[in-house]
Amino acid sequence: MGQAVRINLDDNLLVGRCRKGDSRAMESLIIKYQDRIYNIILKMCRNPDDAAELTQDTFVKIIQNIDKFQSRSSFYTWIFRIAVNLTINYCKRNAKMGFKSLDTEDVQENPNARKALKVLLKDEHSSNPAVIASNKELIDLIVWSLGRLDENQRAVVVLRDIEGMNYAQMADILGLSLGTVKSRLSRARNHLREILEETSK
Amino acid sequence: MSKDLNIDELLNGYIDGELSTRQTVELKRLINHDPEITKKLQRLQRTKKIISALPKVTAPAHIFKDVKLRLGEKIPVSEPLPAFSQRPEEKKALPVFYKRVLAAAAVIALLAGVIGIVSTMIAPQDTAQMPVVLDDVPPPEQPMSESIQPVDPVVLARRTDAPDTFNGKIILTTDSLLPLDAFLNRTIVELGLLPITEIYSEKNRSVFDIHCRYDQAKTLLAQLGTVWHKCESKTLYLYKEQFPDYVTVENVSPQQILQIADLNTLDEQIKVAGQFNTLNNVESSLTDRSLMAALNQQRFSFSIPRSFLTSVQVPPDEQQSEKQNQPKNIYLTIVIRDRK
Repeated sequence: MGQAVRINLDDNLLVGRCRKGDSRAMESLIIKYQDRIYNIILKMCRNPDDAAELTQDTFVKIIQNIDKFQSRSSFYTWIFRIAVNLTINYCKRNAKMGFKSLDTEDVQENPNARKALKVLLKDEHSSNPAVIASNKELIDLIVWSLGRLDENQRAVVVLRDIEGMNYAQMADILGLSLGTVKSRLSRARNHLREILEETSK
Repeated sequence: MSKDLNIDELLNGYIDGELSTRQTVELKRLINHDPEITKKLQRLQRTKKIISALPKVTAPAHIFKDVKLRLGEKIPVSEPLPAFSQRPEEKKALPVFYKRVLAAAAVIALLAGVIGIVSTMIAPQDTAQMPVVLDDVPPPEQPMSESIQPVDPVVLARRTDAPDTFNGKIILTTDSLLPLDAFLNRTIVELGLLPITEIYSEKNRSVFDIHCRYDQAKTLLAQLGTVWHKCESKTLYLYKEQFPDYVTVENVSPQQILQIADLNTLDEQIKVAGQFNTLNNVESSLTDRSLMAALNQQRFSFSIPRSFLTSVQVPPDEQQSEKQNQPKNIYLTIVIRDRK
């Protein structure tokens, strides 16, 4: 499974086959969603090892509970709900225990990255994906800033701006009303902007 | 404060494309008249753009393996395959010496055997007028040119030995098990064949047990024909009335399967399957360089007819009307096996 395989199967078909105990359908399901799940978890928890572990937890939970999945919501939202809930709980647990990433100071202390972030915040045209993708220190600084939001605010920003979900999907995943999603996202973006500006100084 | 919050929410909704047309018009008017709101909007847009521009990462390759390990025995075992699918599946590959003997004998066999076989067929074109040279022969895997339309699933009666029944299994071995499995699943869903298909998966193979009409099999095989070249070996097992008995057609093409399935009696199906098998073996032997060299050396000049039939002793019109009146029962098992 080293190379990326695109799985374009219908979720209902895969779920039906998984319920029958079809191990290939389980594999297809994991391959279909693993990158997206891993991606949002990593952006929320920052640690690649923990993100891989949480991604595994998510799929284990999905497969163990696949019989309980009811088609009231889409399968897509159901699995993201599991992933986000597991990650939020993990983040809260870590925050309570006072765990901090070892590279915190390194990230903050990088003057080039801070300078690049300052430019990004001022110049609309410089924040294109290519500019950011080519600067690893800058990426670390942005992800670090994102990590300074509380778990709930981080979740709405990640689901909207990284996973590209709409408000209704976010409300379904987070178990919130549409109004709460709107206000939480609004506060989260304002707060994130303040964090980014402060970090860039 | 509340007003600010409301404007912030509206601005967020605006950049996320979540506002109604009316809200968008009103907000645009506000933006045009209030520089503070314009500034706020730009700040929000930049923040969003920075986060959206973070590169996507790929999950580590071991996720599936680890999930499987963690679930251990809790991963349910696939449903047992029906006895039908558990019979001997693979005929041994032709031994090398046989190929050489075949190559040496092919010169005679082609003149005697092949022409004999051809005499029982009606070629798609008049080969005497328009000889087909090997190099010009289109690949047998070429997809059939017809538009693919979803067909209505029809649950037919259970397998019988009725003359209008085709009962066969195709074994495809491939290096691309997962993509082919996904392709066939998708095709079955798209063609509306899911209700009449049983799907089983095991570690190294996927099995699709389909009970359908001839036209449905035709549509499915047309689609499958587009990925036929991804299979290392393609063998048809045509079952005789007594289940353990079967005839095989090696290196079979979708067109050949359809032509066999189209025949009305089992005897005809078995006879033509045998002929196809011989032809396919001769064809594959002809690709042998030594044989081609031998042929060139002896300056033989003849053309090889394509190894497919258009009909068997039934006028096309009659056959067509018969087909429309009597939908054939097709029992087709497709097995995709991992070559490794």
